[in-house]
Amino acid sequence: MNKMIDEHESLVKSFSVVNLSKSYGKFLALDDITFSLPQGRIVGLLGKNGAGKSTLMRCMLGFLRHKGTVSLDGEKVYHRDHRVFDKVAFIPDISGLDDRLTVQQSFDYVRRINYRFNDERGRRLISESGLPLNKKIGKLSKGMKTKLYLLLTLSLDVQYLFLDEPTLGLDIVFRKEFFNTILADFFDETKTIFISTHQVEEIENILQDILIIDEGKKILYDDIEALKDKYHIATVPASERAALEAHKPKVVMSHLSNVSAVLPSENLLEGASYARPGIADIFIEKVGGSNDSN
Amino acid sequence: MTQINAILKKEWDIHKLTFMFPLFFLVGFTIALVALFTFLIIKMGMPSMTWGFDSDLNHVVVWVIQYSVAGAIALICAIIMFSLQNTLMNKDHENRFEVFHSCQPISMLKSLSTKMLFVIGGQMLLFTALTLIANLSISLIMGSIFKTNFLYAGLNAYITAIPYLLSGIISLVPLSILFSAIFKKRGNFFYLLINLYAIDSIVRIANHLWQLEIGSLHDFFFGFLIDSFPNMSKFDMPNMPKLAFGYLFSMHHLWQLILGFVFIIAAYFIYKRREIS
Repeated sequence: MNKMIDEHESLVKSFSVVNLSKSYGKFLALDDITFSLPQGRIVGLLGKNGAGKSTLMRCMLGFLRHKGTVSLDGEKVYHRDHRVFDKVAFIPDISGLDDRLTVQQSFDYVRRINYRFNDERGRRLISESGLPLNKKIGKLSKGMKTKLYLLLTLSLDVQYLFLDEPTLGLDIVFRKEFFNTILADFFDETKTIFISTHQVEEIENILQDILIIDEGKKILYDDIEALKDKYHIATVPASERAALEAHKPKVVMSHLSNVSAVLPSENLLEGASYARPGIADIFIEKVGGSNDSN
Repeated sequence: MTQINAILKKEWDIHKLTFMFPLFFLVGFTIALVALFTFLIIKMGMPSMTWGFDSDLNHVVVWVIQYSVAGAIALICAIIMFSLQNTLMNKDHENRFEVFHSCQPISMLKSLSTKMLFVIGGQMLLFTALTLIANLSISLIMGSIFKTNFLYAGLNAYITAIPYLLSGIISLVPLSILFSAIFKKRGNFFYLLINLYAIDSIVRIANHLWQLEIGSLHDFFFGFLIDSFPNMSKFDMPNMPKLAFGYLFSMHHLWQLILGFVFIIAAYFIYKRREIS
């Protein structure tokens, strides 16, 4: 009985996507995707350029019309459904803050229009940010714009945070600071973060689950630690390449005198050395390299 | 209410200079006029101010001047109104701020109607206030020059102009909103006019070449939406406001309102179907 209640609870407290498809004319951008974002997890959304990551996020937020169902905590999300933003905050890949407003005006605007705004946290974050309050956003650097977008978003008391390549084009120091701020000021076990990024190595240590999509299809959705246990990197001398390729890895990487590939953990080779794979390794194994035709 | 205030404040912060352009124009025009007269008086001396008409006609001339001034202010306010109305509906998309604004928990109906209230209601208020100030000033200045009290003629022209000109402008607003909802780019009212004239030109050529009798799209819309002032055989100043208000509560105006309502409903659903990418 308790298990049934827990399952029901987890369905109600989740952002779920069922049989989601999205087409642009004849081009199928998303193909029958089903998954669910549970509460209290940090989920990475990975895919090559054009795989459909941004389209997926925008469908979930009700920005794009699509086939299939998106539900937030048990409630269906409709096209242009503003109620989503009672529970979700979103930072897109380009800083889309209104360039015509000053920093202070933007802060006041979000504070008044969004009743999830936490005044105390917002004031603390903006005073700590050192941003020039009277400067027009159009005159800020890209880093400053992203910082402002982040602090406005983190001032909201929401359950879900969607980040679509939020640090694209920013330097590594800022990127580190960005994710540290999110962990310190937003995340707890009741909240969910859904991040799409190319710089997967940088956030590998904070991700808990991973969703990989390729050409609009879901390739995998799994717990990262479990996933790392399922695979290993097998390295053999270059002369043993054929033995490695016999296991049909998507990509074989050449080193000085060795070759390596990501293989399922149960695939063992004689004389090989093994290492635990990173997410990037698993990603490449699942979707292939950029020039891979398999 | 806080959300509505937030949008009104934001739009004011962004568009205040454009919004107040009719005031700047009026002030600039007045300064230019005063400067011109001052220059002429300095150069040519003070002219002898004699009024060539009989006393009744004096008031008619002042009435016509006042009404023309109201018409000029209405034209400027209408240009600003149509321009801003499209800006508020489509510029967020063009400037890529759409995602940021769409991520706020406010319904599209509330957000869009607040924006339209800002631009349409705001320009109407501005037009009403500026015209009153202009009419009173003209009445007082002309009255002191010609030693006559023109306040009645001025206020009469004002009370006539406000309902008639406002209803004329407002009757075009739903068509303009519908056009902006259909076209993300070039959804401006002035593009609507260009398109209507272009289609009409083609229709006229076709009519001429093949002896067809296809009606004019422009005449259909504007003939229906903007009704001319009731014909009069004699200028009857005391009855002018009554005629203007009579027009406001006419059957023709009711049909205009119904058509406008249909346009706005259609515009809302077309606008709501838009995708944000």
